[in-house]
Amino acid sequence: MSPATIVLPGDSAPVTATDPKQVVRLGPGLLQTEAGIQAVQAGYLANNSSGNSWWITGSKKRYVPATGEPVVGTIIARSAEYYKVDIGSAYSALLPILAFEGATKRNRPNLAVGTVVYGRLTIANKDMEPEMECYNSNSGKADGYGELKEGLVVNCSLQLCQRLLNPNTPILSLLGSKMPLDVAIGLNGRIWVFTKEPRLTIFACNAIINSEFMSQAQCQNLVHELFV
Amino acid sequence: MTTTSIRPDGRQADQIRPLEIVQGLLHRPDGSAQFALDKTSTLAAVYGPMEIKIRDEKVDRATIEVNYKPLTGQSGVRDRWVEFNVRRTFEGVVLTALHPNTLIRIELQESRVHGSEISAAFNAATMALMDAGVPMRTIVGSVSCAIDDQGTLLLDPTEHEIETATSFHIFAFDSEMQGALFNDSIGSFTPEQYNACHEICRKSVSKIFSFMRTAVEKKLLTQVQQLQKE
Repeated sequence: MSPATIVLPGDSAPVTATDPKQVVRLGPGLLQTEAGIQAVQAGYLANNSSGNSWWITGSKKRYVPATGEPVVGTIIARSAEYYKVDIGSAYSALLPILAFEGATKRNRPNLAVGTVVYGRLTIANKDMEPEMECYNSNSGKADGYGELKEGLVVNCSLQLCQRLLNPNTPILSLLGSKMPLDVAIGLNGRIWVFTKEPRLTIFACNAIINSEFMSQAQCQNLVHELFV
Repeated sequence: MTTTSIRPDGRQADQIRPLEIVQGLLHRPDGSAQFALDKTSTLAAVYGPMEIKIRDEKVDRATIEVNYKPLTGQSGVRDRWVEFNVRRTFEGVVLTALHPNTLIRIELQESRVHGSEISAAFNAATMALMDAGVPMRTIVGSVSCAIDDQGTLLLDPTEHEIETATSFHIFAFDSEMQGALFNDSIGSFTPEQYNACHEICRKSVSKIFSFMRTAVEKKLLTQVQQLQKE
């Protein structure tokens, strides 16, 4: 990571393309105006390795849906064709009852209100209610999505969720080296954790939440102390 | 007009009070900030974009709601007036079109009162909106000034200085620092005095902006450093 440029809303962002033929893509926090490319959020300017995608990483707690992102949600209502799922965004997502692995009109899943599900957003548009699915609609397989039985859901910042999906983030592999655990990370700021003992589940949840601003060495210490 | 006179708290006439900013101090809101001008301090919390009652819904943009709570007693007409002005100012600054049919709520709470609270409220709201990651066209900074019976211009006046002043002016600017996003002037003053007030506030708001920038940088840099160690 290069020394980060920090921008505030209204600053012009020094966005450049390494290859002038490439199209520059602007991600969250950047906006093209008459005056050029402007930041609309406070944070540090980041770009991908090929240098043509740019975005801003700042602090955020409220989820704004985006297509294709995995989310952990709670079913809050059900109708004949849809479940309504709270994913922490402004409006709850619709989950078609047939959007599960192996679901047909005769064999439909029967999930109660309050069930936790892991799914992927298929429609995320600012003018519409988001829609999600609990299977891969191309292959028809679950791909790890579906109902999350037992376990514990904890809320965290959106940045922590994004970082946990990065395999270089130490906390999950450190916890995994001490005990078996199942984790589902939603990019909506919710993490589901399941281990065989409730005591260990709470340990793991606390360790993940507290690791947000910890270095590798600090994470190692934290996990070591938990399992003395 | 002199700018060298020393005021009761030892400041020059064109000097603002020491600033203090704390971001993200509240756990439950989506964004929060405390902005202090020495003994004047306002706490701001931002919620949203979130679901809104159909009655208040706007189909093409987000609705902004502002609640201003005084330090003591029930909120009254003055507090409604502050809410109205903060809302009107931020409606032009927040990119509401990016989140249609939603509500962005700004809660402002006076936590210490010693003059120029409304400027502190504007600045606290900006910091809280930034902490919540709400998209904004620019940041907003506000400074107040008063003119005393000698015709002296007092920047960022204290409660006592406002009480004894002949006129009191509040200005809010965007980061371009041209014109003004918001102005309120009470009392009797000449056009020359008004222009001088505008100019001195415009100049000194850059100090507020650079302090806001330092606050954000400090908060973010500690996080980046921690991430780089991974």
